[in-house]
Amino acid sequence: MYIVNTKTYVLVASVALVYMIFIAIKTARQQLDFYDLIMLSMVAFVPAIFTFWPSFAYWIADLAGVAFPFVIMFGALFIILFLFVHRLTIKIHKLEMDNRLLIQETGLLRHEIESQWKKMKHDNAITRGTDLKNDALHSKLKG
Amino acid sequence: MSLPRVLLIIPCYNEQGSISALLKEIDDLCHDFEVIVVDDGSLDDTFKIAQPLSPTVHLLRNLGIGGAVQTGFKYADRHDFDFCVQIDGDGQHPPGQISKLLAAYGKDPAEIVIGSRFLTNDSFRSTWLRRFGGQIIARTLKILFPNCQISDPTSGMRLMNRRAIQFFARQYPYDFPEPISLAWALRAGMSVRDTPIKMRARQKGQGSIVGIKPLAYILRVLGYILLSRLKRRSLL
Repeated sequence: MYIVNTKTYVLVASVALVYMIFIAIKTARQQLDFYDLIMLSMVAFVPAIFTFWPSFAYWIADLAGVAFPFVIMFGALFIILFLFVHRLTIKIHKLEMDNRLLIQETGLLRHEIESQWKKMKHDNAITRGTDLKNDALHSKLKG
Repeated sequence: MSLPRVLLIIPCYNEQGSISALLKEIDDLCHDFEVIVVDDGSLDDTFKIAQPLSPTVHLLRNLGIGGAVQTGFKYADRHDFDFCVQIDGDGQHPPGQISKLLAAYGKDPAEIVIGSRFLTNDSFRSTWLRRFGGQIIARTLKILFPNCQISDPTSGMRLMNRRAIQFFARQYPYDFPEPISLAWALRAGMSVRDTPIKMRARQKGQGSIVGIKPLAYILRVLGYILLSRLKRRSLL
């Protein structure tokens, strides 16, 4: 069994820690949601687990019937990535639907406002016309 | 009893060359049809030309034919129209043929009445690939929905009654919507008929399904039709 040396521990732990801090800050700033944080944190956790508990890695590899534990590690990361992409696809589709709905509703609303505006202008013109006629009649009677 | 209100939905995208002639032709029909032009985010002057001639809804971005037509259905639903007729803005569908759809509905009412190019031999026909695709789609619909006996599922000239208007105002496919919408409607238990009409070649411009697109069209449409059969009725 391969023995992991201290340098490897430090390197993997540092990368995992820096990445976790990076995505935690992004989540705190609401640039990522909590679910994204959990999914992306696996990119730090999975290599860390395989580094700190190599016996676990070999056990999993043996269970899965593969010779090298890193195959399992990349497999695990691939599944996580797939889940992430799956979730993003659903999210994008929903946003597309919302976008489509908004464009339709904006168009219909604009048309409705313009129709009402035209109708109001038309009604005002009729009222004004009647008023002008009345004024003319009034001044004629006065005269 | 008041006469049924009929709305003509005219979706258009970059149809500045044909829209005014089409609206004039509809105006000359002397029918009590109301018209709504849905300008699907055209890059040319379609909106500027159509707006003074007819009520026009302008969409800020191009949504595709499905999005534009659904906007028309929403308009028809909110303004309580009894029927709506969809015709293309490129002038392929002669407005004079609308009365044939209404007559067919009067004779044998169905939620959707399609104007078919293939029931007679004197109408304009598209390329063989498109006709072949249409035949495959019609046969698939027939297999999946045995009550459906239509010859031209890709025809964009169709009449819909109030139930269909309400249904499509809620949900309508984006791309290649004509045959897919039929599958959805059939799955929801609606009836569909067709009646012969005459169509013309495009007046101006080029169609959107060119090159190898008909193949993509057939595959996509067949996929959606098959999926619609799996869809639960309660979701429709």
